[in-house]
Amino acid sequence: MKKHALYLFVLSIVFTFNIHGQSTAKDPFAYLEKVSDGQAKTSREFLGYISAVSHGKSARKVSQQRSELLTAVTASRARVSHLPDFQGDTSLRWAAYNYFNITYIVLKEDYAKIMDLEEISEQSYDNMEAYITMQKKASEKVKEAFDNCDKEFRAFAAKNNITLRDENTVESKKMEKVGVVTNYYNNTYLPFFKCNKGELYMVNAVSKKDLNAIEQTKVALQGYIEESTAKLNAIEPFEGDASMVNTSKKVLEFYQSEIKDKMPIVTDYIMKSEKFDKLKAAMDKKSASERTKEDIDQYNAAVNDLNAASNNYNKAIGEMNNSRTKLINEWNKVASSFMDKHMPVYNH
Amino acid sequence: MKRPFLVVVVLNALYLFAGKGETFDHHAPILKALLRKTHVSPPKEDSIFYNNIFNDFLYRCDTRKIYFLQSDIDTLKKYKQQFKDEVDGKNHFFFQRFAPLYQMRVMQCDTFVIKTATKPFNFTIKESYSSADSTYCTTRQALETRCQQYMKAKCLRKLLVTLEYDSTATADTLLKKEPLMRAKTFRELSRSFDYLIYDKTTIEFVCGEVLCETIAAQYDPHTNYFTAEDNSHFKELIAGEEKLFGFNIEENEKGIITLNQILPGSPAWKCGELNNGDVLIAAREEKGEWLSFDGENRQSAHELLNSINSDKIEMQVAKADGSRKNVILQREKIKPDDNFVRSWIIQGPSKIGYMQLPGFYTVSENIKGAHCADDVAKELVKLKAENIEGLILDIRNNGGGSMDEAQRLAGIFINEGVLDFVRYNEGKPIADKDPNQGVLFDKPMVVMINGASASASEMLAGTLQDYNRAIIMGSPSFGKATTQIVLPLDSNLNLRSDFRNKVNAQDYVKVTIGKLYRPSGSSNQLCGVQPDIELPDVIKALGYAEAAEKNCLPRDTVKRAVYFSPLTPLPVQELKTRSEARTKTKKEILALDALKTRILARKKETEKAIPLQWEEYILRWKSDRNSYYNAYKNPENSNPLPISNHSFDIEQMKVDQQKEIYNKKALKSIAKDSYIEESVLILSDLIQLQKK
Repeated sequence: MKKHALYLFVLSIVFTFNIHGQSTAKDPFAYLEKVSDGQAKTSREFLGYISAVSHGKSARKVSQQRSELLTAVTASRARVSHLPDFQGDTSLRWAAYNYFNITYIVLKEDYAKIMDLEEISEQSYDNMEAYITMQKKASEKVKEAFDNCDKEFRAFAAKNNITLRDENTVESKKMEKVGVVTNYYNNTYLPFFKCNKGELYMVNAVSKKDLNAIEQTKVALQGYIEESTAKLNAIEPFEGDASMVNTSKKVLEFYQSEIKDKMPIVTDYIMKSEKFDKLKAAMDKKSASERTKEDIDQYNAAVNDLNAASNNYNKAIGEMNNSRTKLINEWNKVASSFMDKHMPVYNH
Repeated sequence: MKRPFLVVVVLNALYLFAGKGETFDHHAPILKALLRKTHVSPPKEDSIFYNNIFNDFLYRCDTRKIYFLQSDIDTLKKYKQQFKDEVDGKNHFFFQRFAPLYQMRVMQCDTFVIKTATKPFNFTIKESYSSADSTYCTTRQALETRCQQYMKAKCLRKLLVTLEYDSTATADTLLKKEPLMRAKTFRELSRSFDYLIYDKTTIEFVCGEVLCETIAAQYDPHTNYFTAEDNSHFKELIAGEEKLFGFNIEENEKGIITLNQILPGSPAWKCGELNNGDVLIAAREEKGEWLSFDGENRQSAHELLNSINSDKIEMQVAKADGSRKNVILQREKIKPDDNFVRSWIIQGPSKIGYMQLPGFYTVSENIKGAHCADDVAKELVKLKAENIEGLILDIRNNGGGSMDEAQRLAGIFINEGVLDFVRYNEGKPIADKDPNQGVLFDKPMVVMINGASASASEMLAGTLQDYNRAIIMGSPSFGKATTQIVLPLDSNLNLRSDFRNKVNAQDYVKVTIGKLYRPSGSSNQLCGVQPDIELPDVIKALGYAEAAEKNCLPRDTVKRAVYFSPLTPLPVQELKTRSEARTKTKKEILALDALKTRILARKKETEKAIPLQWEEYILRWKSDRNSYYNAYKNPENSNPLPISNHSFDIEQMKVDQQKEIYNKKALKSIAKDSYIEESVLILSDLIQLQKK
């Protein structure tokens, strides 16, 4: 879900104007048209692709749409790369080429070509965080390339007395909607996702009974919950639909209850196990005749303590697992339903 | 009657050796190939490299210059130009000439020693002996005199060991022991000669071993060659079935017997007073006779130690800072579930946790579950349950260990990010990141270091310093920023394959495979971690530092952008000012400073010569001893720190008497440690300042 949503964000920046004017002897109009035609074709393919992704189309259909989108971008890139200069000026050609090229790289996820992956890796805690950072940086790169292309486009038009008129076509309206929905989705998804990953690390640590990792991941998750809750509270419902915010907040509340109510039970069980092991080791060193009544009483008390802690631990783990499965299923259902409801449908 | 017989046997062996000897087997070519492939920065194999091996080899075969004459060396130098071929095993002319000569000269020395041992030493003659003499004797007579003086110096040293234990001894009573100590010295020297003159195979083996040690030493001070026998000592140690003391011994490059491989959780570890690298001066079984390890080699020291057939051993060791410790150990079986890190509560101006970590251990073959970072985490959970406001982590004398554990430990205190960089053989520096996001303990902390805090412990201190996570106090650390791995001696070895399964290899090599850098990209190599608040320490003055080691690797930095997010800077200057105001008049600190000055002044003098005249020798020893005594004595009139156990340990000690015994000793020692006292005050200041 995430991957597609970020694609949307990357490519929902498109030219939303048409060109009007007369061809001149040297035909700047035709020159400009060649650049904008490629863009229009790419936009259509992109809408088709995103519509397939967002409305539960089959994997085969999604894959086919993606392939067509890549073909359109490749073709546009090739077309502008073969454009001659215009009266010695290559600015627009290179700006357009650069835009299509970066779009292609981003779609292929060949990020190493446009950013320092080592730098990102060092700054990220794990692969998923690195991936999100790469996506963000990719969006910035596409935006930057687009802004430059747009600037050159307008400069070219102005220089050659061509009037550009903003025009709302069906595609441009849908593209605009795609951008808004994606943006909203990302804003609710990322806070949820960060906590979701944080909880996963905590649960892994619990399954290994790794006290060091449990204590650290618990603190990290607490920080994420606080940060994410504040972000979610600031998000208004989308066209009256608060489902994404509400379902994400529900999951976060569950994580908070894990930290507050369940993790002390986990820590208690691990520490009581350690205490028991040490007592047992000390008792084993002594022969039966050396063991005092106090020794035996203390040992028995430790056995009872450990049994009680173990029961509590098992109960807590069971409850955590059940609640988690239920809430994550619910979140997935709400997210699919949100995209289905708000993402425009497009068949070309 | 025994000795003449031995000489006959040896001469016979020599004859056989001289007649044969077309080959000379050693592992040098394999070793060299392996080091070239795996070492982080292998030296260029040019003529300088081979000249150094040649010179160093001769030096190592006769460190005290009591065997060879200058004329021998001149003869041997003729082979210097072709030494590369000798090392590569292509020809053996040098070794064919060297081995019998070496045997012959050791035998000659043996005869000098036999002669010397028959007459009492005259300690009234004004003469001296210098172990650091850089010249060889030119005549047989001069060589004999040097041997006599060497033996005399050893005998004097033995008398002195007695003096250290027997405070009632006087000069007269000691001198009466001269015949006994002379006989002991003779026995020790004879034993060390025996294995060199025994037969052809032994001398070949020794020469091959020394050659390999010499080659390894050219790469850096921490690249070491060792034989299967050395490795088997450690394997025996960790076999886990037997009751043991839990330490091994080695002979360092200066020929001194030191402790190594102190096994986490063993009695040697739990007593809390021993560290790898401590010099073993003497040992005895309970109330038995003291056995001196002075002048012993690795083999004879093992024999001496094995002769102590008791479940209780008393040892005297010299710490890196020159202080002496007497330690009694009781053999024990190591339990897998033991926690090897210990912590206490100190109720100063604030409630503080104090934790000692003597090394960064990790799981070994038979001690399941032993991970120091996990053990530290458990101790921290116990301390947090006591509501501590800050933590002192004491890694003084911590000589390092597992880098993985040091990283995991740093991660306990740092939220996330790069913990260090490692650069392998000519590669790019690779960032090691905190494996766990989040912090287990986020309250103020102080890390205590000294000149014997090395490698992984320096890395931890440096990382916490770069992140502004802890105040580092003490003295500059050792200055070793490299990482090593033990590999079987196999030139086809591939570091990417699972070489640990190559159990058939006879010999092993410890190779420096990586250089370590701090998160900021700088390195602790040579300079060590510079403490934020410095207190005097004599360790560096005693010459214990990476920079003082031969062939140490140079310091460099990560030459690319580094990314890490330090915390808000700590009020270092304010804390420093407050600390200086306290320590500038503190007697114990001033005494250490005085000792440091004295050691530096004495160092040059000691290098010159050791007096062999009784009065002068005793006078000098007494003066030295008083300096150390003044610096390290526990002040009787000072207020001991209010230190106690956390509730977890209190409960455990109710059933574990041995733990209680160790604990009592530790409490006493911590309560009177002026460094810990100062660190408590620094941390209390930090807590107070951060509250504001």
